Amino acid sequence: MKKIDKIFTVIVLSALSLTSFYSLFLKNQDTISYVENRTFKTNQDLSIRGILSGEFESNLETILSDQFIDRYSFVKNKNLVNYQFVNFIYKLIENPLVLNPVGETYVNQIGSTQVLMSKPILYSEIINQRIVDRAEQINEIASDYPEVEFFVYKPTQIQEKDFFDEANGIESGGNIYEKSLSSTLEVPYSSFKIDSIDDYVKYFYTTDHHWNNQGSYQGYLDIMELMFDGSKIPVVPIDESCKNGLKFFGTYSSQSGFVNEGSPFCVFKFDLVEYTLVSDGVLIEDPNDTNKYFDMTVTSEMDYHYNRAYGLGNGFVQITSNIDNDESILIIGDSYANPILPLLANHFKNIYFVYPINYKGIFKEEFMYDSFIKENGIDKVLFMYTIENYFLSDEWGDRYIDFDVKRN
Amino acid sequence: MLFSSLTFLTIFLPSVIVLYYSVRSLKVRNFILLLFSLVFYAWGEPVYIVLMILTVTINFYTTILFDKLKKQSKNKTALIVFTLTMVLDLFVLGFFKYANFIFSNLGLLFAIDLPEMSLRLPIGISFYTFQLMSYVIDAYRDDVKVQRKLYLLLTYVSFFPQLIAGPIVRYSTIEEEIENRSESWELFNSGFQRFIIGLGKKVIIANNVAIAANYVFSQLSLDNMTFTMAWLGIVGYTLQIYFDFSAYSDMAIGLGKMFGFHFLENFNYPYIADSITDFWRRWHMSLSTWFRDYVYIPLGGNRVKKSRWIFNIFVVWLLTGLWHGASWNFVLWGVYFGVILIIEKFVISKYLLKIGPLKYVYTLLLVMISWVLFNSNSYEQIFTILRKMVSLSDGIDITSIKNARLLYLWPYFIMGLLGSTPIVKRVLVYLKENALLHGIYLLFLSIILYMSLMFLISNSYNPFIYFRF
Repeated sequence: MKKIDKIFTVIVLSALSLTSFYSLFLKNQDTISYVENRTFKTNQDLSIRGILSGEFESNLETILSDQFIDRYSFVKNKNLVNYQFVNFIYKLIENPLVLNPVGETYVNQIGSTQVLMSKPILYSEIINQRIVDRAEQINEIASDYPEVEFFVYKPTQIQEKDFFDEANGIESGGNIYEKSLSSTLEVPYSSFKIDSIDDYVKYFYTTDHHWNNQGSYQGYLDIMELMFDGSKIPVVPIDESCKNGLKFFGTYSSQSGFVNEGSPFCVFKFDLVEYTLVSDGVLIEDPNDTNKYFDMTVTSEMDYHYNRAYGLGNGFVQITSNIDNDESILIIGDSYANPILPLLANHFKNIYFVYPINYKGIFKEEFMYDSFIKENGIDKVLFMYTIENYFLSDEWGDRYIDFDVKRN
Repeated sequence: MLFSSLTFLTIFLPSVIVLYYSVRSLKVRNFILLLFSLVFYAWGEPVYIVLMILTVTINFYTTILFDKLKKQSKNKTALIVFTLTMVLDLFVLGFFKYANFIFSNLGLLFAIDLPEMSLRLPIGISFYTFQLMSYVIDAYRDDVKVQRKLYLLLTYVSFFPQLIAGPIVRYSTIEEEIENRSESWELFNSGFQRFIIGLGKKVIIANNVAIAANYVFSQLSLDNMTFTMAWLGIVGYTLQIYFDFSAYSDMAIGLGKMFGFHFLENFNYPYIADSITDFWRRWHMSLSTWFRDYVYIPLGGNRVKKSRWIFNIFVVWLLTGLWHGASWNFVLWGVYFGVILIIEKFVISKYLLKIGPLKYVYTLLLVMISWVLFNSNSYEQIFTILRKMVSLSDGIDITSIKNARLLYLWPYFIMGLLGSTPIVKRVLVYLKENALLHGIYLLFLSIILYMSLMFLISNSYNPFIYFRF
């Protein structure tokens, strides 16, 4: 026993000391933690001047942690251990509609399944009023431009639905908000339909807040119906590629520590007309291939950015297509619009997409509706952003204000 | 520097071991320990290290001085020097630890504006001052030989395993070993294994149950306090403070062994005590025996009139409370135990023998209430938590724990509850001493180490509770 104890001690102590030496002096320093969604500290953060203030000591500790050999596995395993502990209890809850928190932030899973979602949106008078105000802004600009057709389409999220009210003893606000929006709007309106949990699983990534290729295509069909009422034929997918079992780990995954299985990542292929795509002033080469938006180098579960997959995440996009009509459409939306934009190239000569928050961030100015509509001969305006962008303020700053219809 | 830090585990500890065992001379080895101990302290306390060295140096010379005076039969002068040394030690401790408290209370009492003393408490000052005082008192009593080498006294006081959070190792405990000790692989391995167990207690159990305790005591508003959350918080804190502090003692004792020292135990399963008197024989033993030997017995102990005996108990517990911090809730906490101990000694000790297993419930309940006093931020919080702990009508509400995202902590509570009893230790000793099962014991240690690293790498902040005392 003495001998084996001795071997144990020597191995463990040697491993510990070699670890720090390797982490500090030999390995290529990692700079980003996808698991925690933050940047790492590196050797460059060490400064002898910080010794007296304690900065050196705390930075060294953080660097040793951040650069630890195979750190990702340690962190992932810790999250997995804690997840297994909590899910053990969740499995004892019989009602499958009970929402159970996973991780340290806002993410919930439905029952003990691996389907993740955000917190249900509850009702509040203030939020309802914001929705009404936004709808009235849209009415006002629509009435000022009778020659332009205005539409509103809302990509519905599952947290708006009342599926979970009874099981969780809550009163969700999504249905009331939708009623407020639709009854106030004086322009054509429709929304994405989620009639069951199965719809959610079918149309959304179970580890991300965005819709998947099925969902975005259904959204495209809804929009076509809203704008053309069957008079134009939508494009039809000619193929579906699922990237050989690659799993997509979305924002819910990162927020919950990558404890759940990722969603399959699939993309549709379409037979689209030729078009050019300029994103924030930069010409995107070869935009005709929808797969272009899915970077084939995404092979790690740490790559969870929806926008990385769909390529955009920008403030202003202009698509110019080679079709015979001269119609122009302005879309005010959020990231849900990204996969739909190329499909509209088959129907519009000019497609302009504005994501107000990013627009303001990139161009350092507000997007002004009046001047843009007049200067670009806009025929149709489509508002298509999620309910959260109608009202969200407290958690994400005054985000909803950026979606105000700014006039000049 | 924390034992449960990657800096300590992967740089400091391997370095001190390699250097220490690369030389044969005990004198050089002691110098290496001293040097590393000073670095260890300066890592978290780069300024106040001067205060520690200065205090040790003054005590070193005054001790030699009164020893010399005693040998010259100048006993009165020796007593004066001894007294002045004690006064100085207590003044330094009092100044840094209690000045803010005294000034703010004087200001409140006399309704005057006194200057605010924004002094930061030097890390471990309560521990090293008490160690130093034990040396000076024992030297004055001729219980230990006066140390004639400053670096050895400094090594004793600053020895990194026990410097900043105990146990309070008396000079008499290591008097022999500091100048004549024998290290061995067996002792080293045993110490290292004890260290790993301590690390696991701290990082796996204490840090995780602390998440629940911190939530209840620091984040949950009093309006939202419920029966369930009050109990979650207090059970969490009860486990946290035990596993946090006893883990530090385990690591300290283990590290001591790795360098050939034998420190006394500091905890003996306090949560299975059958009375508060028994609890204090098992909890932070180095502190309670310190107060017993240097305060209680010199005051006359129990060999005095009943009223004086009560007074002695009261004084000891008032001081025990104050030792933990300059705050009224620590005073209240100390007095609380003083009163219970007096009641136990004079009234209920005979009844405790008759109530069977209920005496354990009685003890644990009183201890848990004491932690509410100890850890609360305000009197309002104390009363709210205590009130909610008995508001059975609220019922148990697991949903509130779930919604606070704390439900995943349940295994750590179970580990804590099991680890508070000798069961786990007995199993480990059985595995360790059985030749066939020894591999399982080492595998268990490896899992503890892996899990500890897993948590350390994931959570960068994990201070020890007793660092603030």
